[in-house]
Amino acid sequence: MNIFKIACIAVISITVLSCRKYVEEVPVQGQRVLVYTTDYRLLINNKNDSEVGSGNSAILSCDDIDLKDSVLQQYFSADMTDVTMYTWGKPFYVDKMDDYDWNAMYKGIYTYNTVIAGVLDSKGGSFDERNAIYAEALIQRSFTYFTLVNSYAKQYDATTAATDPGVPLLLEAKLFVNLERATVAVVYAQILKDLQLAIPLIPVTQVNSVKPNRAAAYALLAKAHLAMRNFSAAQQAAEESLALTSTLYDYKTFVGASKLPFPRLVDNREILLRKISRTSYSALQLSDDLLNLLGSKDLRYTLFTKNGSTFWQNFSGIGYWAGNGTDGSNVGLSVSETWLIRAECLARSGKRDEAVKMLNDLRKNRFLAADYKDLSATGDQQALEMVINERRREFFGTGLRWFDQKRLNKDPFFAKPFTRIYNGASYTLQPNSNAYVFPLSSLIVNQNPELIQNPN
Amino acid sequence: MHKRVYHKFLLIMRLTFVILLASLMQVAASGYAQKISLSEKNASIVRIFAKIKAQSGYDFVADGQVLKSATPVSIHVKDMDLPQVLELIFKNQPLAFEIQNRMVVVLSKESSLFERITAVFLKVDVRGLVINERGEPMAGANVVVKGRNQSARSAADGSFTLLNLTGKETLITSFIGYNPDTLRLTGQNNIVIAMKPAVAALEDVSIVSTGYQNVNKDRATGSFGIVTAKDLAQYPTISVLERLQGLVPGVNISTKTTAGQSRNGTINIRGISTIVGRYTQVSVEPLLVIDGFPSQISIARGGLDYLNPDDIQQVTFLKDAAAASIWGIQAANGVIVVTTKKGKQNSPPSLNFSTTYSTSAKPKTNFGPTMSVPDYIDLEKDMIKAYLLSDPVPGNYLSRNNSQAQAIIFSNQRGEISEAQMNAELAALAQYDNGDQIAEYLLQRPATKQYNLSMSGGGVNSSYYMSGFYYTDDRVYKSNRNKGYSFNIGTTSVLFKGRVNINTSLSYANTTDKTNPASTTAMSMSDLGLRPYDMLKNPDGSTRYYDALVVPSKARELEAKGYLPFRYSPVDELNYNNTINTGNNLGLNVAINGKITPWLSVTMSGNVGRNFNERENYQEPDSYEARMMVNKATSINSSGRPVYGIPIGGRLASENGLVRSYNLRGQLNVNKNWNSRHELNMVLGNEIREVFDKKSGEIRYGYDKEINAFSVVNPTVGYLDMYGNRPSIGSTSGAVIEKTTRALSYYANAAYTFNSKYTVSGSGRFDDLNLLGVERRKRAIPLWSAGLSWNMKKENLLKDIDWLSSLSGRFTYGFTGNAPQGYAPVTVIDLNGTDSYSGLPQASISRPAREDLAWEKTRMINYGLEFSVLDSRFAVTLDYYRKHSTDIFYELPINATYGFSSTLFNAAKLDGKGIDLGLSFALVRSKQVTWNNTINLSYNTNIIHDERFKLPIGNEDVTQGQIIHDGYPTDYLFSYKFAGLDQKGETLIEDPNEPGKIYTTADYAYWDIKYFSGRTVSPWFGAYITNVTYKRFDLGVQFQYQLGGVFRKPSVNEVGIYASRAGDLVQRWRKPGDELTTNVPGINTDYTQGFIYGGSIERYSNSDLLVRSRSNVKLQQIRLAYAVPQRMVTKLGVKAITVSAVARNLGMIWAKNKEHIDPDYLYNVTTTYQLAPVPTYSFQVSLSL
Repeated sequence: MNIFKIACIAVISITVLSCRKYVEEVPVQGQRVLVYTTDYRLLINNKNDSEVGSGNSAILSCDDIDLKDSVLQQYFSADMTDVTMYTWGKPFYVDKMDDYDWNAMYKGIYTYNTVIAGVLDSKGGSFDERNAIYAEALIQRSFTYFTLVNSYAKQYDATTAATDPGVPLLLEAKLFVNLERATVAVVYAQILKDLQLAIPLIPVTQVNSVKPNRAAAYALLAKAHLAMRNFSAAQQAAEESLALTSTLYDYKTFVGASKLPFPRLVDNREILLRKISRTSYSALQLSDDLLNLLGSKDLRYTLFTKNGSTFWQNFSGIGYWAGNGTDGSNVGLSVSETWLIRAECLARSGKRDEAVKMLNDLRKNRFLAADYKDLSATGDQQALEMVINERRREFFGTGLRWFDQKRLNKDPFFAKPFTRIYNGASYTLQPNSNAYVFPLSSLIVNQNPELIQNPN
Repeated sequence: MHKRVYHKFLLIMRLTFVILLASLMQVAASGYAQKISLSEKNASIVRIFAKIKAQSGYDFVADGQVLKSATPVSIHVKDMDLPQVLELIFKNQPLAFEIQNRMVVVLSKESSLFERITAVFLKVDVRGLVINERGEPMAGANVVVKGRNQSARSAADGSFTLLNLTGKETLITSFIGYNPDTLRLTGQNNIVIAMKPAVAALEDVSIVSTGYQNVNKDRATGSFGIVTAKDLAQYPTISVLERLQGLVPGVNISTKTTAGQSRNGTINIRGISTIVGRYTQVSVEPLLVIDGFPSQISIARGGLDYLNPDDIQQVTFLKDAAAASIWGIQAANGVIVVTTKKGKQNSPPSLNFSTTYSTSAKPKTNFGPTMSVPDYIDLEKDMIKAYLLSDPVPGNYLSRNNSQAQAIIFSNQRGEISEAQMNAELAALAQYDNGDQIAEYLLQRPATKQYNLSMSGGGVNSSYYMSGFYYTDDRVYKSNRNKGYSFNIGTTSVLFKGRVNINTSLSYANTTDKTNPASTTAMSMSDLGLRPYDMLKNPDGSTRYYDALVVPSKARELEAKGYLPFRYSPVDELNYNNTINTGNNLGLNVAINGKITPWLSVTMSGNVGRNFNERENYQEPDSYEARMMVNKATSINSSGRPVYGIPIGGRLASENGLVRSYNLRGQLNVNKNWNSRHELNMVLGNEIREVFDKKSGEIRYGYDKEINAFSVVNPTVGYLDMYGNRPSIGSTSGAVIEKTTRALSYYANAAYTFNSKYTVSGSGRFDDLNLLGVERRKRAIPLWSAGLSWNMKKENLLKDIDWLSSLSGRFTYGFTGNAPQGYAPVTVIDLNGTDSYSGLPQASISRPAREDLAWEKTRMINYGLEFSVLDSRFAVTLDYYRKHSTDIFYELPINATYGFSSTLFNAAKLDGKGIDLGLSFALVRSKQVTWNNTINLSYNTNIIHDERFKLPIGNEDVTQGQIIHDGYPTDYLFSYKFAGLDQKGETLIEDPNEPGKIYTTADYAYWDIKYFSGRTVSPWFGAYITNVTYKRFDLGVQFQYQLGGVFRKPSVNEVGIYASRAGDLVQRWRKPGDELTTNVPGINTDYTQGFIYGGSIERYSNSDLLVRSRSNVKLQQIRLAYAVPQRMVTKLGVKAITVSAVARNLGMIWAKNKEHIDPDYLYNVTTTYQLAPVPTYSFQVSLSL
């Protein structure tokens, strides 16, 4: 055989194999780099990243809860973090413990920042589609920063917000940047800016409450203004939201003989944006104060409480039980909350009759016809108090009350100390106490010393 | 591209099959026609000879000068006898011929009459006898006449005959396992050839395989470790890893056989060069190469388990960078090259059969110090006193079965029985101990059976090897069994006058592994674990049942309402809930080698592999698991009827895995010699490789295996369960996971030898992998190595020193690396399918984008020295190496505010060094007795360097697989300094930096006050193997040892709701004052200070009080083999029979720690029962036909 012929064959056969394109095949099916609009859509659809709202700390700290039963107290003592939250102490997280609420919310922010940075230049989607995803990420980021700044920083106060430390404001998906806390004013400014950018771009309707629609964006805007005590802006935003959606369920249809199943949070038309709390504790004994306010005729009592003897760790008393009516507690945005924001703003601006009418319209859906009675107010302050009480009845057990307690410290009428007895010791929460500002975990403070811890 | 390669492969697969068949047929048709047919016109005589040779098989022998005088031949014959044909051909030639023993000798006609007469007269017929070292005749020895194509094979009586010799020839006699004998004839015609057995320990393996090429060991610069088939045959276990244990210095193999599960373990060559992080995807396992191609299944996933141990010809460990660098980035942890047996050309068919039966001593359930039953009951009393257990009766539900003792104590607390009654009942309960019943009903003697049959042989142009293997392995836990079989067919064909060589092999292996969790569950501290007094059978022999999940009264109440029975018995469960794992592995290799010139050849080779894995767990409708699954999902409706949330029946969970791979390689080989002074060996090649991995699984409810029927369930709709919650079944089908790994590689390896004395070698490799999101430039870096070796014995100065048999030195340096897999410079998203709650398809970012990650790099330097003295009776191989790894990947905690709580860094440097020493010496080497000894000694250590690890950062101790610390080895053990107990029975510890500073509560800096106790891997380890043969007996003993290093003696576990029988708990602190007499902390719980006990036990069990030395010597194996005498064997029509008896795992014969604890089999204080390692006894018979 001709040597050269064989050599040629050998050389050709060897070089045939050498094509570097060969190794540009995607290694793991189901792993992609972000290129197409659909990639970003999948990312913003991630429920696990976005569903975390306020957590255990808010639920255990608020005055909905009063763990009076001694057996329950003993059982509850197993977790020092829970005990510290319940007794308004600090720190919650010692040594190397993670604050999973904080971690989960910032994980979400990384995802939103990734989407915000890339979706507008992505391939394959329509202009509207890209904008809608962009707006969705902005709203989710706003909500998350709103929760963070309300949990870990002082209540917004126009006089001190420019100097009060807020939370690290990360607007890019980047590691190793400075984590200095932006001021409360800067964080709120970002929240409002993002919402204003998002509102014209976000669709009016969404597939379900995991994703924010335009009413949700207005609702969040209303909530943010309410927290900033800009009541006229809050009222205006709430009205924009209610104009889009004002569905309120009639709870009568969920009790009694017909026993219709309560819709899951995700399908609940009253919910504008579903967020849940990472609750780890199920036996939440409700305070007498709340139970008196609620009364036993209220359908919210029927649906969302349960006798303490039926809990895993049984106790004497009444416990909060989201599971009776639905699949969890929503700590996101809802029509009823927006409804009550508008009512509060009306009451605060002297329109007490309008405010009370709103309350009555809501309450008609919360009682059996036989048990329903109209409310009426004789003074503006009384009307405002009625709204706040209605908020307690509507949102008990979810921890939203904690943020009301914190917010209302700025109203001299509502600013009052709270006291609870635990394991024989008495604990008091003074108005505007540092306990209203949750501590950061010492782990993240140690990792980045520019991150200043909240005072004890 | 992909499609084309695939088609090419299909073609090669088909071709291979044809070749395989054809070569087998060729072997079968080994008889030759004696009738010749020829039709040629004016053909050269050489061409005519070739044709005749092809038809008759006769060889032609002639002087080239003589043939020059031949004239062209024209001939036309059909079916004529050979002599007549030759007569015709030679009629008009100036030549004559003679036929000698299937050979035609061509002579010049002009030779004188005298010459021709003497040639005839000088012909000698030589008769001979081949005997072995004991003077017995040897059958089947091959006697070859040097320089002539003439040979004979000794008959059953050892005799052979060679006809028509001149009497001046040299005879070379060979027999497997014996040194070849060379005898120069001096005219005698009756000879006796006495064969000497090859001395195993000193057996010089001269060829090492790197997987790409075979290297002559004398000219290799790298560091290799070799295990031959003969070595492996000494160890009769199914596990190849176990067989390899202790045989090669520098290779650390750990296998644990406590639970009778022999086929798992880890292998580690020269320590580690990277760090195992929880998220780092860098493998720390050596690359497994089987017959030239990387195994598609890694060692950890059972890559070695698919091999028939008897098929292995040789295992070569590539230990240093020069040896391993040819494999590129896969070789960072060393390479294990397995070559399987092949048939030999020109050898008669031989058939080998062997069978091995192994069994073990009776299992024991009381390994390690355990508490007695009364002590255990006493502990339960104390636990109730300390509020560690609460009475489940008011709530009716249990998370686990309330123990009998606890039920009695709580019944007293509720006032149902008096104190005296309680004590009487507890005393009665204390009479029981279930250890014997567990051994009887839940355990068995582990037993394995192996059968191996192989056949090999070869003709002039081909050879074959075929084998079949079957084994069963009954584990110590009843109803647990592993079995498997494999087939292997390999052929070699030589085509085109030896210019083309084709190797093909096809292998198939199947393993079936049945596991049943009943025994292990019953022996554990899980919810269904038995307490020491929980008997399996009642005194009358009936099965004893227990309730779990609910208290007995509630159980009966629920059963009456329509719930399935709550009763639980481990003995019943042995029949249910089996998991069957079936693996099928198919491999096809083809290699075609073509010689272009005598020194240049090209090899094209390919390999296709398929691995199917099926895992099926069936919980029968009657199984406890299935009953409880249904019960937990059952509620009672308003009309008092049960509503089943999950269909009644069984549950079938199945998982399927598929791995398919292919390799394609083109390689040029150069083997060139000039003037016997220069020698160049080089390979230059290019290959592609793809491994595709796919997994999927699903769960079926209401399953009935008899009729394969099941119910369709709605995974998202909630149902009311037993506890009043409303869960849903959840997805019944698991995710489909697919992964494709591709590599494109170029490699070269060259060695140049001058004067057989000096060798310079170098190798380089470039690997390109499909890393998602990484640009071309960053995807691959070249890896290389260089080496030198010097055969000093060949220097004039040493050449004549008789006592020095050999002396050589080696030096290599190499550079390898690892790509940052799993992280990309851009954001990569994982597609997660559809979220079951929101109904939306979704993706997530599981890792942040990292632009700054560099390759992990390892540099390795190796010095080697080899010498042997006194006729190679004493031989030493010594290697010293250093490893320096930089930019090691390490997952470090970062501030979770960034969105992730940890990420990968190029974090640390790792300096490793070590010594591999192999010593062998033959103390006796007489005809009757030989005594050979081998000592393997390895030393390996490493130190981490990185400023970042001066102190631990964040929560690294929970996120990392391996925590590292600057200035310490990777396997460090840190301890608290124990300072006694305080008056509350809590552990006190002393600050090692500030004597006298005592810490009591959780209020201390956690890490700062620990100090270094030592390494958890012994730096020195190895084996001593000694072999004595006396006549037909062969006695081998293997000792394994480890020196240095520490471990922590297991003592007590944290007592929560679960309590073990850990013996040290008896000594626990119980009341103030006890701290003067005991060091074991108490279990008391002080509510006012939270749960401080946990910290106390943590301090105690991490204290220096429990640190012990690992140093020990174990008697690993004793083997006695006997070769049945020839005369007895021949009567059976068999060539040879060997029987052997082996005892393994004979335990420690020396240990430094005073408790005599084996650090490799530490008892676990968090379980109730422990199985002691027990000796294994094997009996083996092998025979060859």
